[in-house]
Amino acid sequence: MIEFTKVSKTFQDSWQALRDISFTVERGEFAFIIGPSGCGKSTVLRMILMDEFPDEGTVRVAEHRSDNMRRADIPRLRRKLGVIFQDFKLLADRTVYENVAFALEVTGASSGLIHKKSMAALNEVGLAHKRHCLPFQLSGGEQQKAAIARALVNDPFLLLADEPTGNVDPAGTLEIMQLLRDINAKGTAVLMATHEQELVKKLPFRILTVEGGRIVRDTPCRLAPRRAAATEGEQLTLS
Amino acid sequence: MRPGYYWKEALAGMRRAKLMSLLSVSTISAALFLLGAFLLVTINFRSAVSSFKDKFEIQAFLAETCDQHQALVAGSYIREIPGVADAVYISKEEALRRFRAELADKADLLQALETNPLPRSYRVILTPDQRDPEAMARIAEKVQRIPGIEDTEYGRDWLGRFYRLGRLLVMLDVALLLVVSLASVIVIFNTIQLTLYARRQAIEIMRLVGATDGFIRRPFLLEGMLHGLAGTLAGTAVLYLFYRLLSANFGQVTFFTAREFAVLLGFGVWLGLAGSWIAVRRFLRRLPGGG
Repeated sequence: MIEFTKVSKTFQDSWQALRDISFTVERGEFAFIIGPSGCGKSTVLRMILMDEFPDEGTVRVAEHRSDNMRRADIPRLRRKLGVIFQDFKLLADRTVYENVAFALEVTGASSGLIHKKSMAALNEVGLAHKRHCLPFQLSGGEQQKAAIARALVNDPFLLLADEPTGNVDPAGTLEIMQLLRDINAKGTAVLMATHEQELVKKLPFRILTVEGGRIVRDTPCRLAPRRAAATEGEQLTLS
Repeated sequence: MRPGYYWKEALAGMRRAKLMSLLSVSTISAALFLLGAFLLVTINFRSAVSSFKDKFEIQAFLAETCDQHQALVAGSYIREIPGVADAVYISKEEALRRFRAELADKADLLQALETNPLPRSYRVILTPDQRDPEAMARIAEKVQRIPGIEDTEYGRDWLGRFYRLGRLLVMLDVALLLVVSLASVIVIFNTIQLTLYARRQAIEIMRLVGATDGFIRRPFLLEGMLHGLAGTLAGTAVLYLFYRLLSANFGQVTFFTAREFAVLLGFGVWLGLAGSWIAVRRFLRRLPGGG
């Protein structure tokens, strides 16, 4: 589903963010990309979004390829992906509901469908009761849940999470991770970049360790394949 | 297409940057007022010209020595010149009668004359496309060469001055059009650019969730067009007040026809569109992943 083949990327002619990276992520998989700040984690995610393109090598996301991607096709790809960030990227002047509906508005969906799907996504993250709140009225964890609802509203096949727990307290982190596991259990692949190694070690999923722009380790998922896809409903503990 | 969304966003953009929007609309209205005023001067000048254009004719005076036969031949020669619609013979008596009519209440002065001093002439009527100084000079020269014709008269000097003034006005209009266009586009560009920067985060998010550039662009283009529309309406409204004031005092002044007004309005809207289009295009290209 996602395939990086010998991908290299250099910024400003000197900083090599990625060096000859190759890996694949399968449909329905949950994988972490870990490494220190500036190691190239976010660049990987941005390449999947086709927000950045490799200098060498190719990135394939479903049927889209970086070497023949037309500019006009990028929005079509992004509507099939969900993405969340450390800083949530919610619009401060819109309510939680409006923030979620926004992702559907841009696709030109009908208002009936927008309402139905936005409410479904808010229910899924458990935030329907706060739909009229503005982002500043929510805790960090709740804001990230709103961002997750926005990411889910288009039924993505892949959810990209760039340091999603970076601005969230420990209790909120647990909730967010549980939510991501539930989403994954329903079939959506999750690729999460983080530098919180402790958090990652406590979870059984695949870990791609990036250092200096290279993948130095690819630790496979510790769950049997069937079990990895059937963790819905289980309670996550990080103790 | 979500027209409701575009309108909502465009109006919200104007509300958010009230002062800049006001500045932008005022600049366009001042610019369009100036342009409109010059266009009105030109329109009025041209309508004045066309109202006496049908009086543009050449007087061809026959020599005293020329007999009646020669006079008739001269008339037929004149009629053969390309650009001449007709040549009407004016006898000495007819010339005097007309002169008397022109003098009106001072016609008594002519009683002192013992003989009729006025020459016979041909009133050379030109086809409408030949009623300009160059064509008239060319035709007058040909008439002058016909045997029996002693002199021609067509108000060469004032006609030339009149046309030069007309051309100068058109040149001024064109120059002003360029200056006004440039100034308006720059002002709208700046205003929309500010709105774009204020909405930068929203635009980035829109891109992330799969909005096309067209979807992102449309509310800003609409906002620019609204600035152009509001500015042109305000500018022409002020111009109309001036027109009413002028026509009350001087009379016989024309304002824009509905069609001309629609063109001016369209031009203002187009200026808004151009300014905002450049701003959005530049902004989207500079965003990360903007291509």
